[in-house]
Amino acid sequence: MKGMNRRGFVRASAAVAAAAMTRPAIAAPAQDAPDSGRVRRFKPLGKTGWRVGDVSAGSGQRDPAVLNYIFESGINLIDTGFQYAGHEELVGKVLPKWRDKVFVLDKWDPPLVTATVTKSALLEALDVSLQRLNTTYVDCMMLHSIGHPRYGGLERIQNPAIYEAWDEAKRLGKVRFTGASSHGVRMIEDMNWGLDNNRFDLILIGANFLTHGAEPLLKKARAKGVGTIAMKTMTTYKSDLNIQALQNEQTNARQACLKWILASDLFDTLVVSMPNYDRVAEYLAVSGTTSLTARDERYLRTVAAAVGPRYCRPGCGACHGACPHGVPVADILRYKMYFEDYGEEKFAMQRYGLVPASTRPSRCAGCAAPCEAACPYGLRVRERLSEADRQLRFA
Amino acid sequence: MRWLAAGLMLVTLTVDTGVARQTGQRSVARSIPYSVGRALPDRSGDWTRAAQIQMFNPGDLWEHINGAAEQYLTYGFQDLATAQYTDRTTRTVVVVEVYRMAGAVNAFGIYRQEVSPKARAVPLGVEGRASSNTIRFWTGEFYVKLTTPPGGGRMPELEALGAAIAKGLGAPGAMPVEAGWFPTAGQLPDSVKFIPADALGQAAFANAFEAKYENPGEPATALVVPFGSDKDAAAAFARYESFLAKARGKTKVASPGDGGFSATDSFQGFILAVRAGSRLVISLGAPEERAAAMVSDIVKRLGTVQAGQPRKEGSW
Repeated sequence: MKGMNRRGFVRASAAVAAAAMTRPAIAAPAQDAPDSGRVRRFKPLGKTGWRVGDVSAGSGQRDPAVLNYIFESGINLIDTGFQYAGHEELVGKVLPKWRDKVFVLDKWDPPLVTATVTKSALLEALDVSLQRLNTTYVDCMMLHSIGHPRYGGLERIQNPAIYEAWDEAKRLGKVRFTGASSHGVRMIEDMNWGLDNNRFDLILIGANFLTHGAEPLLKKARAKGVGTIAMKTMTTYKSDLNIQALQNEQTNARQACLKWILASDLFDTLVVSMPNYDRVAEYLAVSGTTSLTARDERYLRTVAAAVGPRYCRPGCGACHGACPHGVPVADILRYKMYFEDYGEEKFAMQRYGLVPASTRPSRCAGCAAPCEAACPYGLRVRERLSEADRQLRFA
Repeated sequence: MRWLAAGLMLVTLTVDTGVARQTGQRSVARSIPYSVGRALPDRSGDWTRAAQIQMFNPGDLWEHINGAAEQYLTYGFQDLATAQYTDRTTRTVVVVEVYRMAGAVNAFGIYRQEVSPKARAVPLGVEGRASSNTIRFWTGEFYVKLTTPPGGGRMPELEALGAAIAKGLGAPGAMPVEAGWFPTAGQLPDSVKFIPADALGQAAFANAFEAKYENPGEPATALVVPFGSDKDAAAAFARYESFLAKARGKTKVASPGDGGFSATDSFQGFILAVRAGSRLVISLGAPEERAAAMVSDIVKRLGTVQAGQPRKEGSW
């Protein structure tokens, strides 16, 4: 931690506002640089005091020279994690040169963080990550993949050992800020718990032009001064929009997806996988965007047409209360998702078993389906509810 | 009727394979690609396998390993079978993951990407290593991981379980012949790697192999990038050369192979890059004379060690 001794660091960590004042030169020198291959817009990252570029780097690099180039281009936040095989080590090869100019966002291995994990196990894992990253501290240590049924329920993040470990790590100068990441089915519920209990300085959430349901969560984060970062900005998991209708226009479509986030005032930055120089240039080309063009919107419509019809947006709930028979539409579609997409068949069936028979989708036949009218995304809700009933009542 | 058919299907799957299927929105009824039941024994020593074996495909792998999934997909991931083994007395749990990759080279690639060369070698598959709570090995087109919680210990028993799984996965195969492209003198142990995409950050450099060499400071790197034709290789090479336009001391070289250029880059150090037919051979970070010798040696080896041919004993 060049330029600041341990005592100074602890003081800075203890008072976020003070940190903002004592670390004024943290934005990359590239700010407002005219070169199109550089970050062109910087924003405050919550109350951390860091001015973050609007485009930040996710993992995906396999060559340290690419990462070095990313930092040379003015990108000043790197998103990594224990689980990203070899990525912490790769960051560690470059980081010493950039340590004071780059915000390192790291994450514990998701299976490590359970309802029973101990403080010492978490601190041990932090030390392993610090060693891999070739640094004495990370700027933010996150809980990875909260709201994901595979790793447990809310009780997982209510484990007091996590917060004791964070406090201890901050006291030791190993962690400056804390937060959580999620793109799971209970993303909104678990993130809300963390915000309501003032556990997070930063949140990293799956968000894109199809996931409007997260707006209240993001506004709450904003109001509390919690930094907001978008990931999974292209709707699909892999950072390629392999959509036949787009043919050779994937670059334009990918850029349009990023621009949608950049034009939103709900995010401080976005992270996107940057495996090669071409992608770095492609993504930096949209840095500084504050609005979408008609052409961008056309690309987004094409992506939406390909991806949207099956995409029940986390946190939307527009269909809630629309059913005249009291069918809990969003809940049942979520159980269907647990069953189909998360491999949580038993859990899904158990949850479905708690739905009273009188409010199950067996009543959907012959219904005018006001749920479909209520869905702002035009999903075939009735058909999906009937499918869910067939799948889940095996219990 | 559909209910009955679906019910029968579910029962059949459970009885025949013990697999609880990940239906996934992208694959409603996938076939089991190999006998996971045979590869994952019911018991090994004190370990007993849970009835449920979960399967993941490229569309839903991220549900299992989240952010690591993209890397596996790049390495040619096909599917994953994962199960838990529990010791009934101690309740210790082992998580076994069997990743089926597109081929042996891909299994080798993801294994070498994940394993630490400092970990202890274990005689499993083509090669395997054990760290404090994890055993990794590759065999045929499979990459296998066995993990106990931190401090779980019991490595001999874990190795025995690994051996039983390796046996169930069939003949292990051999090291990729491409490893023989690289001279062994000064080569760092386990440093040969398969890079399926974006080698040196170049979008056109796919299916490359690299090896690291002893060098003062950072290790030097030797890289071979194959292409489908001389023309494709020449086009990618020209693009790489223009990418390095700002490098210092750029000099054309006439040989080896079809010639190329040398230059000094602020991050990579001295670079010597040549094209040899449909392949590019690049040295990074080695001093000039050593780079020239290494590239010449590799170009010669490319002519004698062809991909797909059995590797000569001792050349690895």
